Amino acid sequence: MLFNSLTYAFFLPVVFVIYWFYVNKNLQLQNFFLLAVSYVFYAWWDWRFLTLIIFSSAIDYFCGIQLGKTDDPANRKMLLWFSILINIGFLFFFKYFNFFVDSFAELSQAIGFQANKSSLKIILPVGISFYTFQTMSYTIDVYRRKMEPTSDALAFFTYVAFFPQLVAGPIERAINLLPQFFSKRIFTYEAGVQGMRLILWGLFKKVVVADNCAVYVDTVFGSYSDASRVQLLLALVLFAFQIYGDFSGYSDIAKGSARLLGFDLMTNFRTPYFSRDIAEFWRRWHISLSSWFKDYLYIPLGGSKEGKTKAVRNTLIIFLVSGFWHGANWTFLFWGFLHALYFLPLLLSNTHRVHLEFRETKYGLPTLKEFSQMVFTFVLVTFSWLFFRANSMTAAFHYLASIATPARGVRVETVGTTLLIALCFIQVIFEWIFRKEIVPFTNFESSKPLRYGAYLAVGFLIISYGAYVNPQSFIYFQF
Amino acid sequence: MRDFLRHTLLWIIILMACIYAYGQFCDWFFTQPQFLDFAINKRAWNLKHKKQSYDFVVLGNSRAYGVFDMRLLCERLDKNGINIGAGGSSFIDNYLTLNLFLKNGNKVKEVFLQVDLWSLNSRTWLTESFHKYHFVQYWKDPIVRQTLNDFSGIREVKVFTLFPELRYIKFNKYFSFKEIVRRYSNRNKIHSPFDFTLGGVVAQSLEKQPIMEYTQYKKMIFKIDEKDLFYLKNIILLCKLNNIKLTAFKAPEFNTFKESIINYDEIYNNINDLLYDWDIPYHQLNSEIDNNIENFYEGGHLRNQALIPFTELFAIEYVRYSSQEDKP
Repeated sequence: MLFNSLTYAFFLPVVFVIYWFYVNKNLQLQNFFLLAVSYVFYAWWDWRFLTLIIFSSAIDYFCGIQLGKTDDPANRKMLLWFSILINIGFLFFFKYFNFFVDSFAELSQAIGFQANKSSLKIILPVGISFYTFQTMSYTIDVYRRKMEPTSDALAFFTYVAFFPQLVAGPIERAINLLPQFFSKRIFTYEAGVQGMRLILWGLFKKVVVADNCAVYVDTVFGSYSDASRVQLLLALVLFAFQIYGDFSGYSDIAKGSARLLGFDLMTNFRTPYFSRDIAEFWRRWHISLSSWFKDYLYIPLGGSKEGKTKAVRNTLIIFLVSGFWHGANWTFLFWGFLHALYFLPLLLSNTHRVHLEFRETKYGLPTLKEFSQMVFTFVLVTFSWLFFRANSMTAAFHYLASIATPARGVRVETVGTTLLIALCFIQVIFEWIFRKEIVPFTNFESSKPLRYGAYLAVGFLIISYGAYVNPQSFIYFQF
Repeated sequence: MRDFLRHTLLWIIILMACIYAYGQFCDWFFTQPQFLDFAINKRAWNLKHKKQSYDFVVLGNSRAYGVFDMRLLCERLDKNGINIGAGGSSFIDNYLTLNLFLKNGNKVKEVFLQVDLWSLNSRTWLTESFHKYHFVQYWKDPIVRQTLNDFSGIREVKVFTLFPELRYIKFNKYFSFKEIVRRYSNRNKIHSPFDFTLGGVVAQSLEKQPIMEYTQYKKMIFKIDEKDLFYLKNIILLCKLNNIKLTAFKAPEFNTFKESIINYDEIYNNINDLLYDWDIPYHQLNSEIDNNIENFYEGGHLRNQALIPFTELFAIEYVRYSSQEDKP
C-alpha cells in the first residue's frame, strides 16, 4: 500500500476514525487495533513475510525479557549476540545472499577457477532493513541498560510493526518510540494540524517533484549512450531532487500519519541540500540511519576519540556499511566510499562540526560564502548519486564517459524540462522558508491568509502537476 | 477533535468542489470543436467533423494515415472520402474514433480499415496500446466509458464511477490550465494542413528521416493479441450496426523487412482467414513498391514518392474487386 495511492487515502481516514472514536477506550485496545492495521498494511504487499516480522519481534522481545532477568555479563552478551545474529542473519539471507554468491563466483572465474552461479530466487521482504535495525536498537539499548525491557508484548510488537514507519523508516529508537505505546494517546488539535501539514508537504515532494523527475531520469539513465551532455547532467541534478523528494516525502507522510494517531516520530531530513559541507549533509540526510550507525557502530568502534588513524578507519567503516545497507551492489559501496572520501578531510582538519546552525543575512538569505558552500556540497552529493542510481559500476563509468564525450548531437526524447526545473525551484523556495521548522507551514502560523494561500498553492500543485498515470513506488522500499 | 474534523471536512469539501467544477468545465471545454487543437493534432482533427456525408473513411494506425494520396484516391474512385487514421493508434483508439465520428452525426458508407501485424499486437509494438487521455473527455459516451473501464483497474473504475471528474486529475498533464490557455489562444487557428490532405499524411517532417539500413532489421516473431482482436471485432460490429461496408487492406512493407518477420506468412494467412470468416474483403496488394527501399523511410512507412503509385494500385484493385462483386 503506497502512501501516494487511493488505497492509502481510504485506509488512513478509516484507521483514524476507528482509532479515535471506537477503540480509544483503553490503551490495550488502541495498541491491538494499531497492531492489526499495521499487519494489514504490510500484508498488502506480501502477507507471507508477516511471519518474518512476527518472528523478528518475538526474538527481540524474548531477548529483552531475558536480559532483564540476568546480570551475568556472559549471559547478557550471549543474548545480545543471539539477537544480532538472528536479525543480521535474516537480513543477510534475504538481501545479500545472492550478492555474495555472485561476487564469489565472479572472483573465482577471474582467477581461473570454474564456479557456477547458483543464486537463489529470493524476494526481498519490503522494509526488512528498517524494522531489523529498529528491533536491534531495542535489544542493544536494553543490553546497555539505557532502557528497561518491556513485558508488554502487545506494545512491543506494535512498536516494531507500526505502519507509518514500517517499510521505509524513520528507523525509530525504542527509547523514543516504545514508551509512546505505554500510555493512552490523546488527540490534540495541534497534533492533527501538524499531521495534515506534514502529509500535504510530503505528498508535494513525492508526487509533484520526485515522480515527475523520475520520468526524465529514468529515460536518460535508460539510454544514456544516446543522450546529450546537457541531458546527462540535468538527469543527475533531477535525480538528486527525485531521491530527496521521494524519501523525505515518504518520511513526512509517515511522520504526519503517526502524528494523526498521536505519535511523534523522529525527524529524518532537515533540508539537507542547504548543507555547507558533507558533515553537515550527513547531520541532515536520513538522520535516523546516520545516527543509528553513529550510536551503534561508530561510537562502539571508538569513534574519533582514539586517535586519527582509528577515526579514519571508523569513518571508512560506517560509510561503507551505510552504502552496503542500501543494497547488495558495488555501486552502493562505492557511493559510501565516495562520501567517506568527502568526509575525511573535514575530520582530519577538525572542521566537521563547523556548520551546526543556519546563519543568514537580514533579508533571510544566506551569505554569498555560504551560498557557494551549499552549491559546492550539492555538486559533490549529486556526483555521488550517479553511483547510487546506476545499475552497475560499468554503467556509472560509461555514464561519466558519455558526459566527457564531446557533444554528439544525439538526444533522447524526454519530457519537457522547463516544468521540472520550475517544480524543483518551487520546492527549494518552500524548503528555504521551512528550513528552521520541524513541521512545514509553521512559519505561516501568524497569518491566516498566507497560511491558507500556501495550502491552496501546494494543493493546486499536487492536483495539477502530480504524476498519477504510472504511480511510482518509493525508492527506499527496495532497501 | 471537533474543530479538527470540522476544518478537515471543510478543506475536503473545498477540494472536491474545485475538482468537480474543474471537471465540469473540462467536460465542456475539451469537447468544443473550436478548442480541439485540430490545426496540428490529427486525432483532434478527426473529431472536429460534424454532420458530414462520406462515401468512405480510411481508418487505422500510422500505416493507414500515411499510405494514400487522399485527393487522388477520391478522384480515382469518384467518391468523397476522409482519412481518420492516426499515428500510434491501435484498434482500440480506432474503434472509439469511429464511434465518436459517427456520433458527431457524420454519415459513412464504407470504411477502409488497415489491418496488419502491428495493429494486432499493439501492446508489444506501440508505445501505448490505448491512448486513454485522448478519450477521457468523452466519458459521457457509454461506449467510451465502457472501453475506458476495460483498461482500468477495478478500484479506478469504482472511483471514476463515483466521481468522474477525478479523471482530469489523473490525466492532468493533458488537461492542465496551461493546456486550456494554449487551446483558447489557438481557437482562431481554423486552418489545418489536414483539411488540404483530407486527413492524409502531412509528410514534410517524415521526408527528412534517413532511409533505414537493411541490416538494422532484427528477426521478429509476431503473435495476435486477443485484446486487439476483440476491438477489431468491435469495429466490425460497429460498422454492421450502422450499415457501413467494411473493406480491409494492408499497407506496403519493404520486402527485406518482411523477411525479417519469421512467421510473416503464417500470421497473414491467419488474418486473411479471420477476415474471410467475417465476410470482409482483405486487399494485401504486394507489388513493385515493396522492392525498393527508397519508397520507405523505414520498412513499414511510405515516403511521399510512393503515395501516388500505391494509391493508384489500391484504386485499381478496389474497382476490380467491386466490379467482380457487382457481377450477378
